[in-house]
Amino acid sequence: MTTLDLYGLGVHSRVTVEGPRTDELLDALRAVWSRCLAPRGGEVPGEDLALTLEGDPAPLLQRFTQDVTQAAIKAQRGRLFMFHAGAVTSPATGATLAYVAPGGTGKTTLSAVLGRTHGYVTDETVGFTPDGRVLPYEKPLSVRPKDFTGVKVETSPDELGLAHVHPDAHLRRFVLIRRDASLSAPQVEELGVLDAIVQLASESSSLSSLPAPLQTLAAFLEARPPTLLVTYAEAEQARDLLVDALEES
Amino acid sequence: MTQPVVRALDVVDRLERDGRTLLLLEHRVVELNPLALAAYDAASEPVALDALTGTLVDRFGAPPDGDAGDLVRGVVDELLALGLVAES
Repeated sequence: MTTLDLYGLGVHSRVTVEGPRTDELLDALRAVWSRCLAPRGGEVPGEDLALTLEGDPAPLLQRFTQDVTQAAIKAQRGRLFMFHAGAVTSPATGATLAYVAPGGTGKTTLSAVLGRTHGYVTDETVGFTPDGRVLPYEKPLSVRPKDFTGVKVETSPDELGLAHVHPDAHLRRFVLIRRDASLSAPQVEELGVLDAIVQLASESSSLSSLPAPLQTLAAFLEARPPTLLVTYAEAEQARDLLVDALEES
Repeated sequence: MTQPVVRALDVVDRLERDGRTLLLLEHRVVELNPLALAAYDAASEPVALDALTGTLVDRFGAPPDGDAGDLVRGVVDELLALGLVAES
């Protein structure tokens, strides 16, 4: 038995690894969680998690990522604004673009595309303080292997060659993403603050546990460039538009 | 027959901008139309359904079609479904 410490979303999670394949599992965890092995400082304690490898590691690692995410969200309840979103930072300024969408909409693919040039923050849950400081969650990305048989493979952002998050990550702009395979070019719509809040709230975690959450979120949005609703067919198609939405804001 | 009494339930937060109002419940945000919002606000103190109907008719006028009481009953049912009021 041995332990592994993971840091993400401002949470410190301690993982106990057990069983006859402890070394194999530890190596796999250290590889895929490569950007979550060192503290940034100020982490709050999360849940203690336990893991034993039996059989194929791929589904175990995928479930484990979900467990770490849920535990981190729970630990930050009432402290952070948290949304189902991927995010990247500007390499020059740390300004952060959060692209919000339900699961299965393409946050991971978009993160892999944008992360080639912009710092990878997360592909799942964006957490930030009311003043906009982003707490990165550089989790492994679940990607389809070439011989995809139904189980995605947890893959380190390092293995995918994604850029590192800027040390001063601060949320600059939200984009709501939608997919429409019939579009030959992305469509963009600016949302007013109330419409943005209605959409964002449906993709939030524990919004109601924060003090005056609607008032605070409205003030946050009003101080930043308008939230965009971007509909696209493929991530590559939307890349330039999203980079502009961040860099020009 | 005893009149049903309607009472507004607390929400987590409320936001008003440009004549629109959002209410945050534990797990979702809802936007009410002006009639439903007026009904919700009028029930901040427990109010009988007939009295609530009178308040809303005074403010919005009688509906062009149908019965005001039936209309308000429908609004209260929507607020009940959203978890914004209780009825006793």
